[in-house]
Amino acid sequence: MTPDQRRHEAPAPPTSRPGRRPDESMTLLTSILERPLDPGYAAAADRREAAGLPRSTGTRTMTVLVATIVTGLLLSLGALALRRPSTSAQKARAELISQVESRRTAVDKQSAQLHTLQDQVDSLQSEALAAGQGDQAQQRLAVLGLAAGADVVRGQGIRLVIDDAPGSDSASADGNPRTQGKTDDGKVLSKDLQVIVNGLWQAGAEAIAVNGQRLTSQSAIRFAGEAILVNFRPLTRPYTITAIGGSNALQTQFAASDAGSYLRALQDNYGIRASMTSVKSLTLPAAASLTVRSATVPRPTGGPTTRSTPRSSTTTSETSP
Amino acid sequence: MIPLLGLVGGVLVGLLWGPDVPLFLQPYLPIAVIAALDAVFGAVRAVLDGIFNDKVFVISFLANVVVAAFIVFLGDQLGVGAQLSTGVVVVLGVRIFSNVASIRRHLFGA
Repeated sequence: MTPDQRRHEAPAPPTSRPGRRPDESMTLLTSILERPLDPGYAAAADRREAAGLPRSTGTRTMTVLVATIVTGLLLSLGALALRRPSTSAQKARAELISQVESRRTAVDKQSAQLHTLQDQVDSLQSEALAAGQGDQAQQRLAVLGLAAGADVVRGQGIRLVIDDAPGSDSASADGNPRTQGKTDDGKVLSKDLQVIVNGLWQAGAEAIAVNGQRLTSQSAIRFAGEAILVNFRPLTRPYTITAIGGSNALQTQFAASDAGSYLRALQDNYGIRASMTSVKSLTLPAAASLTVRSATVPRPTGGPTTRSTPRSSTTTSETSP
Repeated sequence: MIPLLGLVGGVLVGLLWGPDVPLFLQPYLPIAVIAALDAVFGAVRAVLDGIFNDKVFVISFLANVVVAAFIVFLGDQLGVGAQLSTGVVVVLGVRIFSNVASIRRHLFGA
């Protein structure tokens, strides 16, 4: 006889004060934990014993068979019915993921195609210009292409890496004076990038790219929610600004400019991390979003070919929208 | 042996036949499943204790399922369906665990 059965038969254990248990206030928990078995079994067994039958009816009865079949049915039905919603949600999710991935590869493929086509156009252009003794036109095209961001540029320059303040991700308002007011005080804003890029233009940069996105006169550095968009592509931190130009002159002029002091103020007051290095050889990609909006036939005295220019071909510092 | 056959047969019937559970019954399914499990483990323990009774088993099984479903229904009507479901799951879960512990003691002596 197990201890449990003894407890069924003598439910009140002897205590110093009969009728009161020391854990009386927890009878619910005690009964749940100590007597999980339905007391009906014990009661029925006692009745059967009193009637002279064996305590147990045994498990080989029709009732048990039917009840277990119903139980199994319930279990499998429950499993089937409750698993289906999660699988359909997973299916939708997987479908969305595959859609995102296929679109992304399509974009990559198309931009690669765009670059090869641009190269083709460039070579055809220079061929045509060379055939028509358009030396002047070719030089002009090179200068304009550099300024408009239509060509890949190589040369020495500087690399400026800007990152959010350390710990600005975790919204900890303790001890950090910058995270007290707003939680995103230590974040690089689109305005910061605009000021810095404009300062670099002022300091004499010939070409600038942010995270590999070449800036043209049509580029916009904007905010979309939490992300900074350049050329309508969202960027992730850290922000790497590469600028082509005389690296020493760029660095000194930028440091002396308003943008330089703005950057220092960002570092001092907000803890934004920035590091500037001069690089011997930089390669900036061509801007992908240039289209020919207007083309004119040159004067007969000039080159014999058409002169095609991107819509705006000046190197201004209008990078803000 | 017969209960095991019945259980496997029921699972097979459910898998092969696979009828759609009506939508209004779906919220009660998880609780009903747990209540059924509780009744099954209680029955196994009663068998091992030597006091199994088929009538008690069937009635406790049906009553558990019905009461559990009723509690969830009541909770849904009162706006506390999730909390009451949690309560039912906790109570039945504790019972299942201690029944399983008792079965384990019977079978393995540990």
